[in-house]
Amino acid sequence: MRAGRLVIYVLLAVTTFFSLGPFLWMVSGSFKTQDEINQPGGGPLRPKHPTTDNYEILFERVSFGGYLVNTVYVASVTALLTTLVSAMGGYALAKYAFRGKSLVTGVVLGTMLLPPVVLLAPLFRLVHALNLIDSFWGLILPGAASGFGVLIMRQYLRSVPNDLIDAGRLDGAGEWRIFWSVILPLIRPISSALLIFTFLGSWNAYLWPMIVLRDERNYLLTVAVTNVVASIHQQEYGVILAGTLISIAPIILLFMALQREFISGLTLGAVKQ
Amino acid sequence: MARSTSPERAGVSPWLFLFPFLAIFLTFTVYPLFASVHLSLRQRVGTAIDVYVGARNFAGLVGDRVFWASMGRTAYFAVLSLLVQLPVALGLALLVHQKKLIGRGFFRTVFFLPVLVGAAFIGVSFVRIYGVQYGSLNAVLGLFGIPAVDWLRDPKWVMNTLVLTGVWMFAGFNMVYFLAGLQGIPTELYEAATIDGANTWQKFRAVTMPGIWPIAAFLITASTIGSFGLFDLPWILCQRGGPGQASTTVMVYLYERGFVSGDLGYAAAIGWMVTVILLVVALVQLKVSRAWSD
Repeated sequence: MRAGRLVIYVLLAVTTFFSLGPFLWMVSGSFKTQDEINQPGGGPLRPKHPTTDNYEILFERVSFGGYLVNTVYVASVTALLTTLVSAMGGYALAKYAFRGKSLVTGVVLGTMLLPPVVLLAPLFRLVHALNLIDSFWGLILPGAASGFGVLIMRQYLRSVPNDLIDAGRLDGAGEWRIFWSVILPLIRPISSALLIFTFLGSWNAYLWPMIVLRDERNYLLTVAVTNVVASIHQQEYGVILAGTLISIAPIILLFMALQREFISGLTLGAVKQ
Repeated sequence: MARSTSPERAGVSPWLFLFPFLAIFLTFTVYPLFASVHLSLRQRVGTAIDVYVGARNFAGLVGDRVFWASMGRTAYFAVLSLLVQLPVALGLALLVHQKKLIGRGFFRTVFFLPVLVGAAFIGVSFVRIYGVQYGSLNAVLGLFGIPAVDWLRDPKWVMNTLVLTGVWMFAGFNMVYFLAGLQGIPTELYEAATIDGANTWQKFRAVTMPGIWPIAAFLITASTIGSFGLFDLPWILCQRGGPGQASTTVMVYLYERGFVSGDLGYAAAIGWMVTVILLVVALVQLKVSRAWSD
């Protein structure tokens, strides 16, 4: 038994090293001077002459603050809009009987089988035709009607008792009022999970923002770090690391604060199973 | 199921609630889907060329060596990812599932952290980890006498580097799913097996495996579909699917044809080809997983 325990802790130590290693290496590298980071292996983990130059370059020469603001804005609006639209649609499908309901559900289910690849080219033409190139709405709208979001909302709402809705109706509340003040507070767990799921997806998206955004000032962090920072400062690796860290830090802080919501948000996919 | 609202009483309310979803869904999902069929039958480069070519894009694709090579690479990535990632993820889940483990919460958090980092950020910051002479990974492995690997510039090895990076990114994600599966197995089953004299391996085979099989089946399908969307890593980390075309996945190829060369028609045809192949694969996976669980 003793040996078994030892093996387990050795395994945990090795996996922890590989899991955390790159993070520590990024932090340390972002505070290193040019000379030091260019050494074999990127130099020792602890910077010999710690400097904040890399961060200063990032905010003074690349206007990184603007990219941060853009990303926070796009990810927040995407998450809020997607969640609200999904909750409303899911509510209609879960709590009303109406003609055409199974058609809507069927079409939504059908499109979920399709990989996103197939939409890339036609979606670009559409966004172009709608004059949404270089507009944040070109990023926000295409994903806002999430079939996945509507279906998990519908699933969750089915477990909400009808009595509450009926009680609201007896009190003379309108349908929207019932949705807003009775239903929304009840579905907070699934809403926060979907919020986080879409927020993270939008924060980390790269391909679509790269296609839609042309003006450098509109870039999001993913595009900015890979295209602006990496091309101007190709040799200044510390600047790239600093940019990466600032880009992932908000997400990691959010995760630390809302661990439970994050886990349920990222495992939403299994809800249907 | 008891309904509180009869169809007559529902009136327009459900449609009002559905309206925002339907408006966006019809515009940005359903319409592009039909437009995609139309587009795949055309050659369309910028605004200069826009002609109907019938099935020529598809005929061209069948004979397009670069396309099939990119499909091969993507399939290699998909299969190898499953073979490496799922056992690693299950191993991690089993490790942190133990009730008596000290620091359980800490380890779970640590293994989950990479899931939060976008592939674009990994692509741009891992370049030097994978350097052949100055890379820190080779430096670490060298301590154990493992010879240096040219992670990013060896065309024969670069796809393996992507698989490994994928493991780093997603093992924690799959671990969380497996954990949910493990927590769903009633402890009585293990107790009963212990009474029957089963050893650890037998318990794993008879209790754990069947318990997590539905999760594994889901992860296999989700991971396969995800693999065929692989773009950010080869594009950024391997500099546009390089060296040469050694890491040009099907998504990288689609992007190059559609958005770099600019033939959106051909790109749409690639999209449909991938979709059809994936649907077939998903159906086969479904059949196999049904047969296994029976």
